[in-house]
Amino acid sequence: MKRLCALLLATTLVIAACSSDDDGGDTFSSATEPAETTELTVFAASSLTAVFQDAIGPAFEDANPGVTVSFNVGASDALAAQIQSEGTADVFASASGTWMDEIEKDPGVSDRTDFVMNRLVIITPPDNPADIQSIDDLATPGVQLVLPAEGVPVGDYAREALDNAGILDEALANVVSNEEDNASVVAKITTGGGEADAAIVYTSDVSDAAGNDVNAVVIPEDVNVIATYPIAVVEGAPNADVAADFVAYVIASEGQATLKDYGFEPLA
Amino acid sequence: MGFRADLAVTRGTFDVRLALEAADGETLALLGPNGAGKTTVVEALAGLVEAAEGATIELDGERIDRLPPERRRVGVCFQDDLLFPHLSVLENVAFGLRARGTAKAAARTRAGELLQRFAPGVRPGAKPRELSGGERRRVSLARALATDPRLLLLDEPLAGVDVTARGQIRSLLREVAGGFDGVVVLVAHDPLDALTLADRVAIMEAGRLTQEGTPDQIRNAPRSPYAADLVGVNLFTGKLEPLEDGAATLRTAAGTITVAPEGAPGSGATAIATLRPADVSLHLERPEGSARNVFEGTVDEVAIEADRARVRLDTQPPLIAEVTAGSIARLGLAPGTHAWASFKAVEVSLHLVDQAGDRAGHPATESTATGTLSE
Amino acid sequence: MHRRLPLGITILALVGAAFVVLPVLALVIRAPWGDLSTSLSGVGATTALRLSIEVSLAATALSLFFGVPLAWLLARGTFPGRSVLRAMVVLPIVLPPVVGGIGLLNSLGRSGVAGQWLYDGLGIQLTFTIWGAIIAATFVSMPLVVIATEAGLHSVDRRYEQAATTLGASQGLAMRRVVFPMLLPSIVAGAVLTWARALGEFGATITFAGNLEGRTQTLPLAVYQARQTDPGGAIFLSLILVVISIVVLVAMRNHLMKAR
Repeated sequence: MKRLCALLLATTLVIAACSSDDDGGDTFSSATEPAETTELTVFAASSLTAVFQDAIGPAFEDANPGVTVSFNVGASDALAAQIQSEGTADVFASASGTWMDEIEKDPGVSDRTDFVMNRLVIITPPDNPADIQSIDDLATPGVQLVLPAEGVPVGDYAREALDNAGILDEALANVVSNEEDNASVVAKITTGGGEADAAIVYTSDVSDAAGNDVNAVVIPEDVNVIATYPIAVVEGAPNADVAADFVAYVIASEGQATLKDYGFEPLA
Repeated sequence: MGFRADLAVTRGTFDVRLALEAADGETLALLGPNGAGKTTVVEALAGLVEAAEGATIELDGERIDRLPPERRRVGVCFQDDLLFPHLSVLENVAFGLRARGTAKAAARTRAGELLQRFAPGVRPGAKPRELSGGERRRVSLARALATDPRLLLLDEPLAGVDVTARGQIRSLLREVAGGFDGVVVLVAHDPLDALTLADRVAIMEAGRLTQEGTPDQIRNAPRSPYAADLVGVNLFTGKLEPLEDGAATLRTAAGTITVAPEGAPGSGATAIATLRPADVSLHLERPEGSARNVFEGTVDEVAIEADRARVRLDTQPPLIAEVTAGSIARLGLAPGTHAWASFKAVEVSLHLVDQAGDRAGHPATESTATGTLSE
Repeated sequence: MHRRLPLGITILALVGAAFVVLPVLALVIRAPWGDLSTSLSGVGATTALRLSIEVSLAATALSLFFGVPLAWLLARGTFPGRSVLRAMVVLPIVLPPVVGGIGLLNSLGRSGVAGQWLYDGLGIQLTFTIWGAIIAATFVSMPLVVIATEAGLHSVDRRYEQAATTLGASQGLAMRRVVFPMLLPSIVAGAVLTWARALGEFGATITFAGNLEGRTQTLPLAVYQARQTDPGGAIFLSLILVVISIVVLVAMRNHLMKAR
């Protein structure tokens, strides 16, 4: 009997642990202040999480008393699907034009603007164990390279950049892991003393504001892939006016400066 | 050769201190109430509990008390058998042989022989859980004997055996004990087994020996209420008061009887008296006659065995009487019947407790006529 | 005469059953059965399946190899700090697996506390290899073997060992030929649970071993990746996991539920 109880207990714990595990980081609302008059819902690509939640959101709230901003961050494609099915979004900030095009078709957008760019960068552990000096070094056999997975926008961009540099096949042979999100990619470079030799992520993932300790290797302009982020007010938004204000704020100089602090590139 | 043991074992708040000995070929029964420490003695002899410093156990002239169980030539038949459930009956019996180095085939052959002898109806390939209580006991015995031990410990060998099989197991035990050339120590709390199987009996109470001797010796002169209980004798302990005519009264806690002492004991002398139940007569009305002891009371219990019956009465002191079964019927004696019991003063055996207080050290005044009615 | 269960209990039980069965049923219903073969090949189903089986079996073997002696030590040992050790051994069950993965990185990674000796000295790297996946799975599931075995040891009456010694067996022989066989059902039950846990392991694996098709991408990792690119494929992969688990758990049900 004692043994049976022990087994049942173990099984329960197993299930609890497993279920506490799978966390895609999909839907994620920032804490909201107690009852104000307007709650603005912004759907934003994961790479915008830190800059929106920690800086732009609070700043916008300060500038607009009575408004609280709640962010729903995730992969751009998942967000797009959600917007189409649920229709509660006021603003959509996507990591690629593709998904914005989708929303433009259905349910439609207004005030669509490209508001920031993000470029790719190669990162290595601080001591650069594989001595990566340029993108071509990623083709050296034996280099342990971590990339975001295909299907994740930055994963596709990274492969595009490698293709631009003419080393796609060699680099892919060096890939030891395809991560599902940028944070995991960065983690492979930062945890312990750095498990992998190199990785490709956005500059915004490794900005000073992100606070991680990595060595960055610039990807030349001619091969690099610049991701352009569009932002727009979603048609049928519950708070269309405030949504438009938010879009305007982001495009304005203050919003742009904040984005720059977080490693993004303002639109030239 | 035989064996001698001087044991001192402490188990929590309870300790066992006694000395035992037996010669080769002898069967020694260890009797006692539950909680007396009999199993502790078995465990100490087998080496399963730590005997205290200074305790000694000698088997065939050699000290074995510092040896682990596997090095002692002691075989144990446990109260709950402890047959290994995952092994067949044959493998169980062969276990000891194989553990001591016998090759598998030879061990199995010998085990088969033993099984054939001790448990002929049992299929060697059977698992212990398929067997009845009596069959398991037989296998357990075979297993313990397989390694040719010099000391065989039987812990309550009839426990868990149902009534119909008991007779057979008893005969088997008698046969084994009789033919065993080492020492058999048999632990029981049912006196019938001890008194019929053993050459000598040691009575144990609360961790100490209270009496030792042959079954007859115990039967004739029980020294404690428990021993008296065992043999179903009336036992009284109390202080003597001489009477003018040479008789005396024995005042016990439960009542007073008249006895006929030899010599002239002083007033207030402590004595133990025994009275055979067969010497107690039963009447439906107050009897007349020379008997100095006449008591009135109600029948508590009647136990009939063959053509004899033992009747327990709640007289003061309580008494056990033995009469023929026919008398029970004739007098219509049953629990609740009002009856009279009588016996003669001279029929009481009196044993004075001298100044040093020997005789099992029971200075308290009490009488015992309760307990088992079967002998 | 069969007494029916009280209605309240029956209802609660049915709700409980529905709660567990419904999500699985939903997978079956929503799976795009028409695209079955293209989907499966697209998401690397066979490779992931093979890896999952290899990793889970290896993790189970390692868990038994080290876990049973550990359980013995905990049950029979008499050293100070035993209960602390026991608590730590059970910890991986309670910890979020990702935390376990981070711990493994810091201990067995290339620059890990112990891992650096392996890497600098022997050139052995565990991360990004199938061994990394095996270690991660073992880390989270070995406690199950330990718990089951220890419970089993406590339930085997020590007197059987004693009986064996009176028959002439040394302690070691008594352990091997009497206690261990009686313990086997507990160990088997522990092994089944361990295997099940190892099969489903995700967080520690993806953190420590990484995610690469053909090398470390077990079924759970493949499901996670397919969510983005091919939701239908993700469902199929999930169903594979479900089917395997059900088949094995049903086959082993007697061993799981045998309470002695």
